[in-house]
Amino acid sequence: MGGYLARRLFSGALAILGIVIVVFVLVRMLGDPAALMMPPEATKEEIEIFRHAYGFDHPIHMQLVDFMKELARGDLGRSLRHDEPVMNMIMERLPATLKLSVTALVFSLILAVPLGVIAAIHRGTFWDRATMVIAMLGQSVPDFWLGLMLIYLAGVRLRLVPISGYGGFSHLILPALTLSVFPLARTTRIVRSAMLEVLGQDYIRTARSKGLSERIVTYKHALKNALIPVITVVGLDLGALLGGAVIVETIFAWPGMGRLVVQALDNRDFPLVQGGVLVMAISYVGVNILVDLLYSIVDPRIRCN
Amino acid sequence: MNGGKTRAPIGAIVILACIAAVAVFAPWLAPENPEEIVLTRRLAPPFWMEGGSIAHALGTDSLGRDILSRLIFGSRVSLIVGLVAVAAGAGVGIALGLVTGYYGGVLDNVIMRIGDVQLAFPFILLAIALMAVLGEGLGNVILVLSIRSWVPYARMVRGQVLALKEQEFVQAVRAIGAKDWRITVKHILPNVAAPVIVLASFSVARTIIAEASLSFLGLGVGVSAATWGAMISQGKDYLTDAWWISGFPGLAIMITVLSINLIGDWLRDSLDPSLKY
Repeated sequence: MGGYLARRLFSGALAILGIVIVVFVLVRMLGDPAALMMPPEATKEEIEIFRHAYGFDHPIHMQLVDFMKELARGDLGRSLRHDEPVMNMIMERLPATLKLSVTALVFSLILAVPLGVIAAIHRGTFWDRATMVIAMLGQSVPDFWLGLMLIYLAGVRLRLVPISGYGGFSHLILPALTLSVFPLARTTRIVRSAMLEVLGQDYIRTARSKGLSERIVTYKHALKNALIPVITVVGLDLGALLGGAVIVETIFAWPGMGRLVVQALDNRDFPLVQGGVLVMAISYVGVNILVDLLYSIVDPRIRCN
Repeated sequence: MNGGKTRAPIGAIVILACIAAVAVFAPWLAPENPEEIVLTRRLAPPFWMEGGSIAHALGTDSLGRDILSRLIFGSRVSLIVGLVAVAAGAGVGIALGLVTGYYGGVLDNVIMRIGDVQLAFPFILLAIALMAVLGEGLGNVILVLSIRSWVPYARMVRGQVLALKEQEFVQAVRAIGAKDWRITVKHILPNVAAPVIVLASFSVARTIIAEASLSFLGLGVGVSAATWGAMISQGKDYLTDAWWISGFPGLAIMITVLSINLIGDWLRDSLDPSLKY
């Protein structure tokens, strides 16, 4: 177990290091920040002073070494545009992203588990087919379009909820709903398929033959085991949501990490892009490792393999 | 798992065939030039609404361009990008999977680690950054989207090769002196074809949505190009007065992707029952 964890941590750290390097090189291919940051009437000397102040006059590998050194001290640098420590800016935005991702996942789970179970126990009936068609639809709809249509229907036509911005729970409803549709659809399908598999196992037959009620067999014996694969996808979804809500955040003007990094990309704000992507990558890798650990606790068979 | 539920999704196949035909024959089917700007007829509603006319069956956008014509031409971009990007990504992924699985060693380690990096990278951000570096254009969109898709193929093919290469039939051909490339291409590759086809069908669906997302953000084929994603973006400021500008292209994406997903589901059930989800 310890060795497995160490291996996972090592390969996770390696992936994060790879991402840091790719982002570092990629943002420097976007163009010279001096050209964007300095006023057009700036003299050559002034531009040179700017470049020197941020180290852009060094060769790229030296810049990378400097960045790594600062990173090792926990310093992500300062934003070029806002002249604020990148770490502070990220910490300001992180709660909004977490709030949105977690709410979206909770929405999806609340619906997906019962829908999946119902589809599985009524396999082959109208309810099963209807659930599966709706789930397939949920996996096929582009989230940004769904978001716009929800704004139009729920916000503009029916005036039920605020259509953008950050505030109380009411601001959270539309973006979280939009983001929850894909995980909802996928999790429903997985719950159904895992339930079908579990319901065919011998121990379920044993439970039934002991005379237990169908309710207890379904919810106590089958569902518990069927939820194991769900842990993996929920983890993957959370990891993806932490970095992937860029478009939905943009549509709803939600002040999260995704929008922060996209704006930073537009502004050629290298340190902010680097810091933002680093935090996203760490969350993704971290969540994945946690999921694996959780998995081996819930399902002891995995530890043996 | 789905015990005999392998009935072909006729509806989805017919719809997808129609969309493909529309893409191929777009210039003959579109009632108008999709780029023609006529400001005097801007924001005309679809024909069944008050003020709409059958001349612009699905209405016009903020520049008076015919939505139906733009939808018809937009199908080309979605299908081309979806098919070519997936074919390129799958080709590279399959080749890398065969090589890493068969030979193992350092190369295997390096390539699989690169795959880990890519999976942990928030894809939409990588795509945005790459498109900003490369610039707009059909070729660049295809390139960026195919970069994303090789990893799952490489992983899956590698796994299959690892399992297959110890099997007796592979040992047997090796014993009679077959070369490595012949063993992999002729004897191992056909055995991984089914899961690859299934995976590819789902990736075409995902890639079409990804292309639309990039176009929506203004990082696609071109800002004024008639693509479904760009059309949704052009309509987003007119939601209150003219929902149809964004509404129809989104429906088109959903119907196309849904058909592909249904076909993918059917392929999975009938080709490879061991794959779930």
